[in-house]
Amino acid sequence: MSNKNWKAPVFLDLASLEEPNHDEWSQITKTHHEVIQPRKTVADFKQPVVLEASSVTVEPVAVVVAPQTEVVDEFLAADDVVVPESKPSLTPDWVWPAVGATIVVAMCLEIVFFLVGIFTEHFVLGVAYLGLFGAIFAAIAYAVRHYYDDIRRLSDISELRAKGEGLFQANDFGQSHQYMGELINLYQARPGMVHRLEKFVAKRSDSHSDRDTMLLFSENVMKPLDAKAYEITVKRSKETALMVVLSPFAFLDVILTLWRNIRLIRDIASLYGGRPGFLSSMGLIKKVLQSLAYAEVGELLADSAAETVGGSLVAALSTHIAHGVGSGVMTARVGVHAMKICRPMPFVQNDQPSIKGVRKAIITSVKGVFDKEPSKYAEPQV
Amino acid sequence: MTRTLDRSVRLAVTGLSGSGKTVFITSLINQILHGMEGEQLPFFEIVAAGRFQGAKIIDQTNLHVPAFRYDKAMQCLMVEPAIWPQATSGISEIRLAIRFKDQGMIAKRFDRVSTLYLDIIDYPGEWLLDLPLLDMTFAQWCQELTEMCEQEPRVSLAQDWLAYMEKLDAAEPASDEQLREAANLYTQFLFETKKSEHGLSFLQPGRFTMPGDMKGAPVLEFCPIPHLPEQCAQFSKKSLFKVMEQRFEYYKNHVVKQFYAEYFSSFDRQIVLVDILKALNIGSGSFNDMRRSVESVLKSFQYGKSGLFNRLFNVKISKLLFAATKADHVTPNQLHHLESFLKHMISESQNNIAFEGVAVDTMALSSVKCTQAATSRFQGQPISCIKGVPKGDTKEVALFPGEVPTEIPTQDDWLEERFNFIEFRPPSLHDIKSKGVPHIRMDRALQFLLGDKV
Repeated sequence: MSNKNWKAPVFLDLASLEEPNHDEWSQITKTHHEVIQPRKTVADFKQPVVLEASSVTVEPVAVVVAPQTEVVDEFLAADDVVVPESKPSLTPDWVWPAVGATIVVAMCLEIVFFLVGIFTEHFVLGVAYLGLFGAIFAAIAYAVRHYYDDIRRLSDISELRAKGEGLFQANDFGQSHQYMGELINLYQARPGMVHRLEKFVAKRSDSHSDRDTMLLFSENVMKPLDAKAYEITVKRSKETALMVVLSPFAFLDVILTLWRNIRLIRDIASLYGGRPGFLSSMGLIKKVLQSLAYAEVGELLADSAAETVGGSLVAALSTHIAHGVGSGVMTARVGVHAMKICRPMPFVQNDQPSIKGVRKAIITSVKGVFDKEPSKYAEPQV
Repeated sequence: MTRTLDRSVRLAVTGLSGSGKTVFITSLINQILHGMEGEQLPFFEIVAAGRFQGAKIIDQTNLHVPAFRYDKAMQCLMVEPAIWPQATSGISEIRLAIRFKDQGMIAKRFDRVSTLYLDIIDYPGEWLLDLPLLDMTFAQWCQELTEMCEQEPRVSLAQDWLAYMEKLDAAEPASDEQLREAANLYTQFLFETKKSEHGLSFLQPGRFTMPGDMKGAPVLEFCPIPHLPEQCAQFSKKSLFKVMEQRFEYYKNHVVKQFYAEYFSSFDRQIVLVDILKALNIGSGSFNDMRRSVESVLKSFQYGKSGLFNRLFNVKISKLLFAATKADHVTPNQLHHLESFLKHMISESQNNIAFEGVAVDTMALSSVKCTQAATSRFQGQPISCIKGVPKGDTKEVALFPGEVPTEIPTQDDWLEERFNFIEFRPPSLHDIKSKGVPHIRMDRALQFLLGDKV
């Protein structure tokens, strides 16, 4: 006999069966978080076996215990290349916490001494200051709590995306149940999404592989969100382009571009379910910038090529307009990368967003401004 | 204007006998007719994108061909308890009109609804094996069959016929009685090999086991002559050999060629259905036989300009789909095993066809899904299994059906009773009126076959 170990049929007891239950999806909570990792069902048997009802225990489908793999930075996750660690920095790790602690302690002491001093001078004044400081502390504590919530939510999203990537690559069967449950959880509270989710559940069949299921979800649930995100990107890009074209000096350009970009990233994150606050969106911005920096060479070449060819046309008109259009395209690129980072399900098919159409829209809108304005003044003369 | 923009596709559904052509066609029609619901065909683009505007069975263009009885086939599936539709015994044809919102450059502008006409024909799979005969002389055919009959299980099954032929002399004239008897014994031998316990599929000529409207015609009264002497070409005109040869040539020219010229020209899409599980079940002999059949059929379907089929009938097939049917008989996580097994099995033919510029794909599908996927525990391990009612039974069972190999089994692998894929009864569909028949990957098959036309 060869060493190929194909398995023979096995009869099982009907009572032992567990069919994936769609209702369960609405009840899935975050506590199940660590369970998903694609794995194969292993079974080592040769002869047909009929099972007895008493010997069979039924386990819920969703719970698949698997070893946790370590989390790799998402922009490195694409390959298995081992990145050598950079040289350990000369300052020890504890220096900055120590500096921070010193400052905080000093501040607290300063405040306490200040309050004690005030109290000795006048009781009412002391109470008033105490109240004021209390309010400030409360505000800070509140902000910090929110900041942590935001960070948690964002990291949940990127965790989900990593999971989705793993599932899609593995192309297994029946492992995506948990993941889909979490995605459904993420969106079911949102108005207008429920019927899309229902459509997805109706279309799913037990013979769909994990990849099929993800494609279905992407097509039925994520697509309108993607369209909306793209719309926002185009809109913000146009705004940026126009503002830069109209702004009188260079410094203002920078400020405007930065402001619109941050706004864009936050909008997209909220759309996909991240809802970041101000501080946590800083982390997001960092990620987007990293993603931009690591963007594939090909993508960059394509973009820049279009920019050079198309841009020279505009540049012939005015360097300032060209600059504006450039900022617009840059904003669009930021938007596209923000979409890739904020989407809880990775872009898997050929529905990857691209900035192809954006540049045309920007030029049209910039042109529109200059086309309209002269005609406004021209009219009274006629 | 409206007429010129409409399109038509002729789909050839090919498959050896018992591979599920009739059920496939029935399900295909059913899925398309129920396309408006949109839930069953998520991977068929026009349906998923909401461009589908309805479909209808319309009158076929070839009025002399019997109509494919879709209603009858559906009735079989919808009675309680459901039964599989009868196997095909003759040719039949059906024409569907599919209305959809056009995405073409011009049509899109006018928000036009276009129509795609889809012609499907059903015919006995047995006839397919007549195709390789066209490329052979009678002597070559005899040679091939002699070789085949030296191996089990054919040796023992052909005993009667071989013994009778032993007594005849190919060089001497034979009486009509003798000819008839020889053909009769040969036909019996073919029927014997076709029985489910032997499950052989390389049965030539195809009309012997499935005569259609030719039952009892003298053209079917011939058979190969085993151990043909070398100098047979010089035999007299009245000799057994010459008479047989003449009938063989007549069969080729008037039966086979005519059939394919009439129905198979002007086809532009083809699907080849293969029932791998059945062949695996019966064993090495059946499996190798099926493999040989599929290969030789594909060889005669040579898709380029040089191919025999093309030369004779001027067919321009642009898309070819190989489908492993009855994918619901294995657990869903083994669908891609089934697919890669099929790919291995036909890799050579597939390469040749793809080389000729034909789009080729392989797929595992199930026209009517009889089982449900489930999971259970076996010896402490999670195990995925399927649930359904076995053929000839009334009680539902749950089983892990065994594994589909991903590579072609070697001779050693057949020793044990390794493969035992159980056949299932069709699911209870009597309340299915408002929905399409459950299926596996029919939508992907539709997308591949029709996707570029709509």
